[in-house]
Amino acid sequence: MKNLQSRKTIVAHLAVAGIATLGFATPALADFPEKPITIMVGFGAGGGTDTLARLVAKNAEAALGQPIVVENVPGGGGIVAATKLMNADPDGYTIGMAVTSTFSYAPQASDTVKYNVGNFDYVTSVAGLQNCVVASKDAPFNTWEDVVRLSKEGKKLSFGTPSPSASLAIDYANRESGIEMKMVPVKGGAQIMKDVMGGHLDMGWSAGIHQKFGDQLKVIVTTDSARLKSAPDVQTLRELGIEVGSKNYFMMFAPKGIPADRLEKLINALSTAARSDDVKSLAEDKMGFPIEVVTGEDLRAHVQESEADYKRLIDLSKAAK
Amino acid sequence: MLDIIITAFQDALTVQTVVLIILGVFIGQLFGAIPGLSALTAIAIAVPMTYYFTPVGALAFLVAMNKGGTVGGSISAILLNTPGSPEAAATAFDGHPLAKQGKGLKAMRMALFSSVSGDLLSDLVLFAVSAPLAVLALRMGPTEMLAVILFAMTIIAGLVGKSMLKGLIAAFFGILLATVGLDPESGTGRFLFDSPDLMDGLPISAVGIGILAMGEVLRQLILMRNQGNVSHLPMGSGRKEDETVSWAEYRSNIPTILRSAGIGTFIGALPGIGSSAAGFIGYNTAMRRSKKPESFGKGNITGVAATEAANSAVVGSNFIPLLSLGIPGNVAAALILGAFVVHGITPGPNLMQEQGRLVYAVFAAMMLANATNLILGYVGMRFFALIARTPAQIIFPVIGLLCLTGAFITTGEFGMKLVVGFAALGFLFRIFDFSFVTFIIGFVLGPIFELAFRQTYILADGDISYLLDRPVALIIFGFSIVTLLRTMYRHMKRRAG
Amino acid sequence: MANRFTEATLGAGIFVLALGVYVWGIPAWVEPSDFAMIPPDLLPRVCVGTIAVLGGWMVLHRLFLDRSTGGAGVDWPRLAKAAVLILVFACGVGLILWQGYLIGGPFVVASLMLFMGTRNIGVIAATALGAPFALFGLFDLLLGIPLP
Repeated sequence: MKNLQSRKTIVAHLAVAGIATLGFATPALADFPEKPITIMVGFGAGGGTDTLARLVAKNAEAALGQPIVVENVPGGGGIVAATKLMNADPDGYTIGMAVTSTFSYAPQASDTVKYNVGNFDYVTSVAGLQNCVVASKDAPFNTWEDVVRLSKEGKKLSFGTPSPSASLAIDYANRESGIEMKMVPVKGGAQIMKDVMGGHLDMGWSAGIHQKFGDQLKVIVTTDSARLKSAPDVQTLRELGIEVGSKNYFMMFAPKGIPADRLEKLINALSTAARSDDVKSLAEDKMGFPIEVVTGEDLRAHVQESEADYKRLIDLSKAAK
Repeated sequence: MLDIIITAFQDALTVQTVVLIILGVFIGQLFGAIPGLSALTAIAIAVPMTYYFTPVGALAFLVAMNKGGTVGGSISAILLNTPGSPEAAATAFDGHPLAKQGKGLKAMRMALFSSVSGDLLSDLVLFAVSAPLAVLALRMGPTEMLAVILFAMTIIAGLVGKSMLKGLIAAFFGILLATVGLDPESGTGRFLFDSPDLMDGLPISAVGIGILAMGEVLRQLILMRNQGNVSHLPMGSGRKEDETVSWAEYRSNIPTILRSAGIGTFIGALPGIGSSAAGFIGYNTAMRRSKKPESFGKGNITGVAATEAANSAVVGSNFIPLLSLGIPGNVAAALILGAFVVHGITPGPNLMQEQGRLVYAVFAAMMLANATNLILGYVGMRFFALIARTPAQIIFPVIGLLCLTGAFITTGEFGMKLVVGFAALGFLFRIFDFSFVTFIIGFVLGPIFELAFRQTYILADGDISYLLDRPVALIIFGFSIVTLLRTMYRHMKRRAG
Repeated sequence: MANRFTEATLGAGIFVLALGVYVWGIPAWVEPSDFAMIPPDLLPRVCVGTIAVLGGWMVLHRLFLDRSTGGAGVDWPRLAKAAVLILVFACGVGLILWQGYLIGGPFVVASLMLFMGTRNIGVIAATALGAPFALFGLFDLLLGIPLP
């Protein structure tokens, strides 16, 4: 009796050992990467997204053992790069860098965008955009309440917006506050700052670039989900009771379907690089973007949350027309 | 003051920097001179490589390439009538006829001198008055920009050629093609035909290479067919006056050069307009002021000087918004901005305080680059002239391939296909006598015009008094109307007479 | 400049084309927006509309106002040659993308040289192989920019 049982157990053990060995031998654990990796940056060279991508890439090359090539594929606030990446081979050799709204806002806003949140795997975020409303230091208002008061007295203020997603947020805030503004489309954050400082626009949207101009500009209200590190005394719209303002990250993503271990390796290398001292000092001190690392499925959850928020805003906006 | 200058030059005169400057100018000139390529391509390729250089070295390298490119661009325009980018298109108007008259070297020399002069002048403006100019540029808001662009368009309207109707059709067609892409305000798609590559619009390099360079290649392929083993250019006459630019000639063109440099510097300081417009405006202004406007287009060397001085002056002053506000004036400046940031330098209002020494070193490097540009250009000229005398049967097929290659390198697979399409369009333009100049201008200025118009419209909010509140804009508008009327009058007179 | 009938036909063609785009093309190809203050199709419409008007004017101008008949008609042979060349380039591009630069490149150069009348096989071979290979070497190998 005992012999039979122990033989079965031995066989069982052998079987498990055999399967386990097979598992170790699968090619998925062969060396990745074996050739250079390409990052498609969805914004033009010289901009915040591009610079962060290059910094992180340089830092991650050592961990991955292969060069990382940065390619600029600008257009539509990341839409072009995301579209190309959607169709790329999910082998882990091509990834992308864009911002949250590329995935959470763009697909809902236009029929031309053929992808949505579900078409991608998410690698890691690098830094947080510092979304807020700024005005020139000589502007006759300091807070959002001042702005509302001035608008209600009859003066229609002008607001410089770099993208439809920003306009959407401010439109909502305006509706909730019962005021109207002239929404002026401007190409690029730097240009908005220039126009605000030059007195052509009363206010403008900044994703963080206002920090370069120091005290020439003042932050009126923060449109992020929490107060900005660089402007801790400035309230957020949510604190004022206006339900708008969300987190946006500079983030890296990949086509859906990358083998799990490759994704894991990418996530580790890139998120570590993002947290490294060189990147941190340049991003935080020189550029003004705090390093915030969220990876993998957590990042996906963040993007989905953002998508739901934008959906709410879009529906409300359509209803108001 | 003097010690700052001395330190600057000391910083710039390191072996690495000097070598990089020479290399940069050389590469810039080479890429500019080869049809299908441009300095922009070179800069885009080079930026990642510069991470391993010192900050001064990296910046000197890229800036040198930019400067070399403006000189190189004139070479392909003059010798082959295939300008690599629209900014040199007007150089070809008079430069190529001169080359066909055996005066190619003369034209190239004048182009070189004017280019370097214009570049030098705008660099000096950059060094001396960049801060106050930046403040002035701040005062230029959307309405003022709209006025300036309208003014630019009306000036260039003078280049429509024989038929005003066709010129206008071409211009509006150019603007129409510029709307391809995403709408600037709402982000919705225009004429995308389901192609994500078109979302950023039709790439200017593909359009430029296609219409300007390949269009000409097609023309030459047909023209020089079965002509035997000859070059499309005649042998130089060997006479000294056909090969060199005498001091007297240079001196008589100084007013033109100064005026063009001024135009280029002004346009360069306003982000967004670009060197192509500057080139055309410089050319046209010189033509209007000339005592013999009919001679333009047939080989008047002033035309060459005017264009080159203007398009090169843009390079220096483009740094004014870049250094003082961190706003790049054109694509090259944007790439260089990227290089700045990676090296830890953030352009902006505090730049001079934080990194003054570095900035001055870069200025010194720019001066060195100018000198190198002049020397290398002078030396390399004969070499290019010799190559251009290769029999047409060899050179034009190769240039055809070069254009395709250049298009692929700059704009990828999509761009290469586009280039063929635009070559066909360019040929049609030529055959039916439509001005490709107005087309290109419409295409280049269209987007900024549309944006400025929208902004002004929204800001005015239906209130005319908004416009009346802005005297600068109104004055410029006034200029535009006057220029337009004068152009139309001149045109009518020419047709009647 | 071509003669007035050619010009008039050209104008008419432009007019018809522009009208077609205005009425049918723009609605088909320009996505409307709920959010913008200025509709995305405004500028396209302005351009196409102006082109249509100008085209029509061209017809009228040539037929009735400007009676000068100078100039030749359309140079058909030249147009035909250009069409051939475009075809060569298009095939060349296709070949480059499908089979590679080192196959498509020589094809382009060789065909163009033959078109121009070169008959010397040696020269054709030398250029058609030399140029693409040199360019390939310079860009792909030396500078690391991938060519197909």
